[in-house]
Amino acid sequence: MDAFVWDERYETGERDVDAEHRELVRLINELPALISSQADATDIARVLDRLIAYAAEHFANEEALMAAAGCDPAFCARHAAVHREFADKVGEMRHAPANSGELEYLLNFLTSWLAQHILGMDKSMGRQIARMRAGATAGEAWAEEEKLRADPATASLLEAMGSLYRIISQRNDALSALNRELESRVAERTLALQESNRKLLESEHRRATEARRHLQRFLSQIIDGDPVPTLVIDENHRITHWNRACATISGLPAERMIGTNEQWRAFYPSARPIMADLIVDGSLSVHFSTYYQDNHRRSDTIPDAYEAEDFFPELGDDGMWLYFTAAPLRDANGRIIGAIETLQNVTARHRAQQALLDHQAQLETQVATRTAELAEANRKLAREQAELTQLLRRVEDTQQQLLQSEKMAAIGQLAAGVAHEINNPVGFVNSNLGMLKTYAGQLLTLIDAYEQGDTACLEQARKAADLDFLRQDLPALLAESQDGLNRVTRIIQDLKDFSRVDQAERQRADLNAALESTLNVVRNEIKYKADVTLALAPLPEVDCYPAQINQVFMNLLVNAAQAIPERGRIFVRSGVDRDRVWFEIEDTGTGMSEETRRRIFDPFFTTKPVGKGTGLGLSISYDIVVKKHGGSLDVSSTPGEGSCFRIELPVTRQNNSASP
Amino acid sequence: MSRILIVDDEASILKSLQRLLRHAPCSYGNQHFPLEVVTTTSAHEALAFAHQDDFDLFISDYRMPEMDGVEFLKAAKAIQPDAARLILSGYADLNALLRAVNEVGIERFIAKPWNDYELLSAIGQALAHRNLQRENRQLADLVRLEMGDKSAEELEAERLERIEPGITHVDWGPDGSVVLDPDLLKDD
Repeated sequence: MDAFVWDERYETGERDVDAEHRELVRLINELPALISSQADATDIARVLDRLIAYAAEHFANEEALMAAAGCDPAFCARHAAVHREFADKVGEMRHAPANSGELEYLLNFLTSWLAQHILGMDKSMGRQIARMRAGATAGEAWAEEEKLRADPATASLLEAMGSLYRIISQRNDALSALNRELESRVAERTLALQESNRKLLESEHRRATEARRHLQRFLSQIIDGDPVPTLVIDENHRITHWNRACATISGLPAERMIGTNEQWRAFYPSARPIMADLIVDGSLSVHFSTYYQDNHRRSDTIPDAYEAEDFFPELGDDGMWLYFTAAPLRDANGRIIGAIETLQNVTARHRAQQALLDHQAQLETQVATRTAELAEANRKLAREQAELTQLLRRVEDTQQQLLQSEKMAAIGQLAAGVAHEINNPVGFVNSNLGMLKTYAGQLLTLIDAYEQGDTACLEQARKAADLDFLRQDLPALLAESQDGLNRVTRIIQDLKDFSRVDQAERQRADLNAALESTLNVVRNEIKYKADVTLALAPLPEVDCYPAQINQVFMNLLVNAAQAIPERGRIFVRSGVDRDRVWFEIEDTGTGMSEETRRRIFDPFFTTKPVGKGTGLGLSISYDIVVKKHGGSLDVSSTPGEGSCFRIELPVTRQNNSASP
Repeated sequence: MSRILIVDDEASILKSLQRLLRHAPCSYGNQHFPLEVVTTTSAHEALAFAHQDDFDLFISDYRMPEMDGVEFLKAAKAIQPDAARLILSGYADLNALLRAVNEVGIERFIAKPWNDYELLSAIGQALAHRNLQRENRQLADLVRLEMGDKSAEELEAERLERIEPGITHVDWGPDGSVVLDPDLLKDD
């Protein structure tokens, strides 16, 4: 917002004068913005200077205009006096201290003064000049103005303004005086302050020195009291700190060490740089490998610090393991001004480690011994296992032999029957043939006698041949012999049927036929004991190992016959029950007790006299029927009445049945 | 004339043996044995024959339905202890053989199929042996009689005992009666 709002009431009618007034107003209007924005005092001063300079120029132009127009000299003098008064006032105020209150006041003064001056003196000047141009004399124009002044309203206003300016003026003077007094007092005060300041500085310096000393003492105490052996050297490698722990560990007292650069004495028999020295020299990388080989490393926690661990035979009674850390000390600019080195006695740890290593070595020895023992035990076990395997093989062999012997026993049983059955016909056929030879000889003799026609001879030959008997006996002899041979043939055929090689394979077989062929073979054995009654129902072909099933049939039939003490009956039945075929072999033998019945399927269990059975027949039969064919083998028995064995077999192969 | 009783469950065997023995004379050394052959397929029937007639030789099969050869010969021995005994069998295990030798005291074991000559000489030998024994005993008896060791009554009793074993023994009952059949006594 402008401090001074221009309008046409301020126009004097003189074009140059109005233009200059406008410029002054513009300059004044620059000030409020600067003041309110707390602008730099120099900016305000600059504007003020321009304002003063421009005012002076403007006043000169007005005075020149008045002189040129030939204004009344009295008026010119008064006008010029007002100008000078203003210039002085402003000049004074300009040098006063420029606080914002003063500036506000100056601004008010400038606007008020300029408004009053333009409205009063300058407009009066304009009117006089206008009148003189209209032909009036200077005196007349001035007189006219004087009349205006006589106008009470204008006069009192102008008077009031004039007095206002005087008051302002006086106040200004008073202010100046006050200012001067203040300045002198400030000067005095400044002097006093300087004095006290000096004193303060002195005391502060003393205090700072004290604090530094205290800090140093404190630091020394910290270092000295640190249980970790610590030494500090400065940039010239001189020892500055050598704490108690360090003295204890090295056996060198601090008094002897501090200030010297013989820090090596603590650790080495001859002079050489310690780690702190290398850090101070900054020659770490070059010399570390020389002095510390590979057992040093950069610290993880402290920048530029190094750590190393080494054994020092000079220290302590039996030498000492030290873990030492050296770190650079730097000033505020980062320049290295020394180094601190701490030492830790890690001998105990090393001893422990060594003990551990020894222990470990011992353990390893033990482990090695133990391993050797174990290996030995292992070998022994392997040997034993081999022996066991061999034993097992022998057991298996024995089992095989047992199975074989069971088979042989069964076959022996068979052979008894078969041998008897074959030997009988062979016996009589052979004997018959012998007789036939005799008969043939007699007949031939008879024929010879006939041919010779000698009656006596003929009669003798007829008598010898007993022709009547021959006629009767010869056909019988031949028929019987033929019958005998037929029987042998049939027995052989039965045996072949029973032991067909192809029946060892798994196949679909007519088990009724198998049962009959088995029965044919065994019949010779059992016919002396029992009459066999067959009741076989038609059966589907069964998926099985026929040879094995034959063996089961044979076992059961022979057992049945053997169970009969004198003579009895054996019933053989078969049938189908859904997807299973069944066979029953029942005898009218002695039967068996419950105790016996429970054990008959156990291997080697037998009730037969020594040499009659191996005790394996039923065990093997059970194995064949139940395990290999997925069937069942049951027995019911009543002592004194007989036993009945029942076989059931699935018609189709069972998935879970094992291979033979 | 020597009497032979043959038992075999096989009729054809019996017939072939009859043929053989009808023709071929049994001889041992210079002894000749004309034979009278009795055959049967049943051991029971054979024992019945043994009770009725004297036989010089029993020949039995081993495996037979009613009883085996050893049992039969044992029974026959009880009836006619002086008769010789042979087994003619197609098969016999060791047990059967042991029993035959130990329990029955057989003269020979002849295997089927047999050799005709062997069979004949075995029969001849058995009969000759039996004759020898019989002759021996007669001579011994004569000697004992002469020496006075045995009376003629005792010898007669022994002879009777041989013909009918047990005939000279009297079974006295508790009440003084003579027990002819102990089984009857039991039934009471």
